Amino acid sequence: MKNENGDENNNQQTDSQRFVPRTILTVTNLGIRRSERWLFRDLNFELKSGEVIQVVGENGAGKTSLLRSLCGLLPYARGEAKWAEIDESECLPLFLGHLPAVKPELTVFENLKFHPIAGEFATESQIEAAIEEVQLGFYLDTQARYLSAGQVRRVGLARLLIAQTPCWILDEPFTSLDVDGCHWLEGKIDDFAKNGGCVLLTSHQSIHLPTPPKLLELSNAEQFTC
Amino acid sequence: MLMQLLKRELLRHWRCRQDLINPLIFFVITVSLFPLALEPQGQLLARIGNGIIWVAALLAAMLSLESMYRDDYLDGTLELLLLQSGSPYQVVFAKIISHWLTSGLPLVLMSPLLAVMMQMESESAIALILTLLIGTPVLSLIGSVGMGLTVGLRQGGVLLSLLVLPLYIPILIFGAGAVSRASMGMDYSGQLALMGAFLVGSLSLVPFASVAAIKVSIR
Repeated sequence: MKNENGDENNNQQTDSQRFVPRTILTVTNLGIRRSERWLFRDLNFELKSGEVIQVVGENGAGKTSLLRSLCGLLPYARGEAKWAEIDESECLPLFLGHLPAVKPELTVFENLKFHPIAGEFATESQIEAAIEEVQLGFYLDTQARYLSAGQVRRVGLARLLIAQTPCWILDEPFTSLDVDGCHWLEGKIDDFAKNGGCVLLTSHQSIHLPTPPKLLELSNAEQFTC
Repeated sequence: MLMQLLKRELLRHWRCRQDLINPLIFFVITVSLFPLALEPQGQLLARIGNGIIWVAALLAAMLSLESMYRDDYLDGTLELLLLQSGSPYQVVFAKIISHWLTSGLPLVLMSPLLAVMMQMESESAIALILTLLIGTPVLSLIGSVGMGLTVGLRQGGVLLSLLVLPLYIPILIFGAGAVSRASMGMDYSGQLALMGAFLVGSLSLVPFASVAAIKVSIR
């Protein structure tokens, strides 16, 4: 895919911000409990602009729960996760879960047009450019139910290109992507981080970036019950 | 923002038209079976017609509730909408409005025809249309809370009817009551006013309850 045309996602960072690393997310003593079992407790980390953090851990270690609770979908049992304030409002990350969130009965174009991303709707030219870039230009007016799983995943990922947010939270973004798609996504993540964005993602495969991502390990070796 | 969300909902419904027609057909068929099953006496039909049409409308509204959040929940869109749209209340509102436009309003539009089939007087037919016009939005609103609570469950259908039907009953009583008063030539503005109060009350409280319910469901 076209790695060099990566300008669409950069415009949210002005030049002055670009080289000043700032903390976007601070997590202190975070603990998540599912029914009686602690997935983890006392998790501490910071997410700074320009950083890529990969959450690793076994199946069931709580990777998805962590991402969902950071977005506010899942309440945490203890501790605190604090988003930095940007332009006087709390930073709204772009969260793409492991479900693609693509409606089968809408066309590729409509799927992007009618989904608010970080509280805003994208312009038509932005959307068309994004669809071109994920190599689905031919399918612009095709209903998403006629697409393959990988293509549906690409429609979901096209949201990254039109989002105006300093932070991406991606849950298993490489699922069902082909080799080209994985390279393209790695390129996108790298570009985004270089321009001051920060990415928190889970993946079981190793991610090849020029600066390797920080690893955040969730081990479920110690399972407390209470 | 609300308009965009509403447009999306209506477009989605338009693409799955057969799902929309289902409750409407159910409504029409249920009501039209009664004249066949009962003795063909004009007075009997006119006397019980209000109740039959209202009960059928209630059940048809319940049938269509499933489409409200279920699909969006299953493909992950609901999470995305709640997180990314800035205000989850707008999402819920767009859902409720589109649900009424696609399931409540067709029932209202179809009701004059059914009133004629039930040999109702023009006075009671007008009362029927008015009560359905005020009552069906309340059905959508209350249904949104019930659907929000059960969207995460695999077999939520029975629970949904247990949750929602008791809350529908006041609307049924006052709706059918207003029509029967109209058929006796009495004033039914009191019933209409009470139904209006239900509408305003649920309109102001339901968004909070729905959002809270959905948040519990998508954990």
